[in-house]
Amino acid sequence: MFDNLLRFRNFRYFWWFLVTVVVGCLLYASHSSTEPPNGGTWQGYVLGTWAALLIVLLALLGFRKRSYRSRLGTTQGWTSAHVYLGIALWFLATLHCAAQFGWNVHTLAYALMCLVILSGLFGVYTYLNYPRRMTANRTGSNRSELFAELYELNREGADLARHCAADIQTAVLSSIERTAVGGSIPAQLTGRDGSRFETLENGAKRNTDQEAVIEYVSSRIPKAEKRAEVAYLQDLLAILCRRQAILRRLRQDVRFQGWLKAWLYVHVPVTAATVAALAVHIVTTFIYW
Amino acid sequence: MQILIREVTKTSDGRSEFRDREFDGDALTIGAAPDQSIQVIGHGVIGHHATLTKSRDGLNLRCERGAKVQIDEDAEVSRARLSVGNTIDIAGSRLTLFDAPAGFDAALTLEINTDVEASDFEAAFVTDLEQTWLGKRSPAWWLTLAVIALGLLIPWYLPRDSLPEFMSDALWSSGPLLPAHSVAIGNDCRACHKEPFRRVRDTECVSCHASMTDHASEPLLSEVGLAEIRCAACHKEHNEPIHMTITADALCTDCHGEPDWSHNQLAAVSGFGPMVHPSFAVDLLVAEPVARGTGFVYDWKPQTSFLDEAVDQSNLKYPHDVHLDVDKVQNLSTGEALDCHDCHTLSPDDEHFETITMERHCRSCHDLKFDRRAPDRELPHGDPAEVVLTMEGHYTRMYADPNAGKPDRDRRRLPGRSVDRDRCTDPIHICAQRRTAQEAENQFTKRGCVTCHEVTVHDSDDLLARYQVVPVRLTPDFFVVADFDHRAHLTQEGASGDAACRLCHGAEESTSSQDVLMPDVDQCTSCHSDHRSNQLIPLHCVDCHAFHPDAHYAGTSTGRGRSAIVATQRRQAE
Repeated sequence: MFDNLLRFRNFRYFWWFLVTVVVGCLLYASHSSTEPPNGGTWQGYVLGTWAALLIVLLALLGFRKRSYRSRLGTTQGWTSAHVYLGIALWFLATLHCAAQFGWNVHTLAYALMCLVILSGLFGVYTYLNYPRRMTANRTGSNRSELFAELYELNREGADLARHCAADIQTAVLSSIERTAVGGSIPAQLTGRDGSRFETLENGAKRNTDQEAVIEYVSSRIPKAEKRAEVAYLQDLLAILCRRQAILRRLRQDVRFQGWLKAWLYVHVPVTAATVAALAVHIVTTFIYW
Repeated sequence: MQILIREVTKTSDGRSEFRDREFDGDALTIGAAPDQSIQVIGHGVIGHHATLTKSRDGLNLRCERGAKVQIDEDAEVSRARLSVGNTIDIAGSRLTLFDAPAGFDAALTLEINTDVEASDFEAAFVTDLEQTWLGKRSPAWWLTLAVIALGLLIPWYLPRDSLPEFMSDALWSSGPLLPAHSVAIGNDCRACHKEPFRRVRDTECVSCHASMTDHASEPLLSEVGLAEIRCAACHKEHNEPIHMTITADALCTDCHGEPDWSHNQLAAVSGFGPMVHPSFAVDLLVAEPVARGTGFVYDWKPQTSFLDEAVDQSNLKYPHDVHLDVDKVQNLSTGEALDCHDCHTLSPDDEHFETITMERHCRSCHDLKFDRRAPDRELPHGDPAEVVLTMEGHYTRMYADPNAGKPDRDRRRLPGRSVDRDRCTDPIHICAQRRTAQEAENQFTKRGCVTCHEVTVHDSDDLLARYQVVPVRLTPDFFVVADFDHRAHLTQEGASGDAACRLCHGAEESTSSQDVLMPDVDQCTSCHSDHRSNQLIPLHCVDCHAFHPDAHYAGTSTGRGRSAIVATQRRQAE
């Protein structure tokens, strides 16, 4: 599906992109020598109008994607067109302004448009790469199943811990309580682990990737006073290690999904700002004609 | 604030186990997130669900927005004041206040509800960006409003003076102004953009550029449609590179490439190169005698001719070949041949030359002595009547002098000449007049004035009216409608200085001052072309021709610049 985004109908929209860029370049090259290329020549007006219409068309994809009942083309087709024409838009807008930039509302519109296009390109990259990696990471399960498994391991771990000495109980139960998955925006996007646990001896400590608690329990096994406790500790250790593996998958899953969505938090609001800046650009151009 | 938290757990055999821990801080947080002071997982519990703070006689409970707790199995509340005995129920987990032991501000028993669905467990974690403060709709609105407000509304409605520049209508400028315009009007957009949504009018341009001339005079200007062309059609501001004058040949060749013959008869020019640019026509001055009073005066009229038929009528006799021949003429200081710059001094405009005058350029060689016995006496230059009167005065004095008839001992007699030539026994004034007439004839017809000047001899008894020297006027500008940078051409391929001058002006072969030593277009096209190439230097129409003519020539159909066009018309008609 995601590969098909770019290969949709045998690269149909790639050809649209190519034709748009080539025609745009030819139009730019047709500037007469009487005036430096700029947005005010007839070629500039044509390129500008074309780019403005394209911005409106591309923004409409946002509505089309939410309108699942629409029969006006497929969502996949619209998305493919959105990607290729979005890149073509950058060429058209750059040719329109003839790469003349300044501290003004016109360059603001251009800069916002570039931000939208760049964030969109990142979105395409994530759509093409992350779903495959997410599937590989989940090894056939979905996220809820992973959480359910973690939940069961937590229960088992807590039960086992209660059969152990107070220090192990405190360490394991607190490590289960203080296990972090996701959380803040940076934590979701980097997969940073803010887990902690408590020990009777030293209070709260970092428990990144559950390493500290596993180390704590495993180092405790040789010091066990009863044989039965050794068996509990060994079972507990096995459960803690299984928890560690599942937590790694979950954090990775959260990270992938975060990046799959993060670009939209730039793409969507800045698209709105771009349409507004485009309107301001057009109006102010003709206020001071 | 120090709180004792006593966690109660039920073992599989129904016994209760207690685990105490201490909390030391300002606020005790309760929620599903792992960073909470008390972690409670269950249906409807959010990451940070509630906060307990110290009050005067117990604890204050405050829930986060959208979160609620049940107090004493009663109604759900979001705020409460708690005292000993109160129980907080959050998704089945219970917190009960009991009497705090010494050293604690409060004490709580905590019974965690372990009967939790896996989905509730999952919900305790923030695993989606949508669960964070990030949003799309709200930033979209704010950004849109900010762009419209800052980019359009504020610069439009608020007075410019009250705004910093980055918030004013300077934001609407699509590019830099020409520095001269920038200095003249600053950032006042409305100096040119008088009315919103209307293009800049010519009146705004000429309000400063009042002396600017049109390309042609009326009615031609209107006939060819130039009167309707706006200044801004050619002079575009706000572009980069900052350059307001269009230098492209198309500006000229669009009209002049195929001139509209119904309006005028200009030669077609489609560029600069062989066959595409017409031959040069030179602007000359011709002296025409015009009757005035009892005699006549000379009136200088412009005349334009193509080079191959041009005859310079300056009325000065000056053979360049003689003056450049080292065997005949030498520089008085160096004894070497004359250089071009001995006479031709470039003006500061680098195009024209300082006016050549008798006093400055000729007199050091050509003195005006007329009597060898009076080597200090020279005739005045420029007025023939004054010349005659000077001679008459000189000879009157000579004949009145008693020693005048005596031979000069210091001088030797010329062979075949009588030492008595100047002897006269008549009355002084008769002798003087006779001698003056002799010398005037000599000066005006044999040697002296006539060496350089054209002299008209009239059949008159009055000596003052007999000789008329045709006035001299050297052409100051042979190509009035073209500019040329002489200094830039003083160094050319393989030649510099005088040698560079002679590449274009064949002065050493010129035997007569009637020769027009101006090069034709093929001399220029041997180095220049309207297109860029490795062999040729690009040259555009405006490099030589100004679109707006000098005010001196503008609108004068008989002006000298105009005459070049008339001559072209004539040639074309033929």
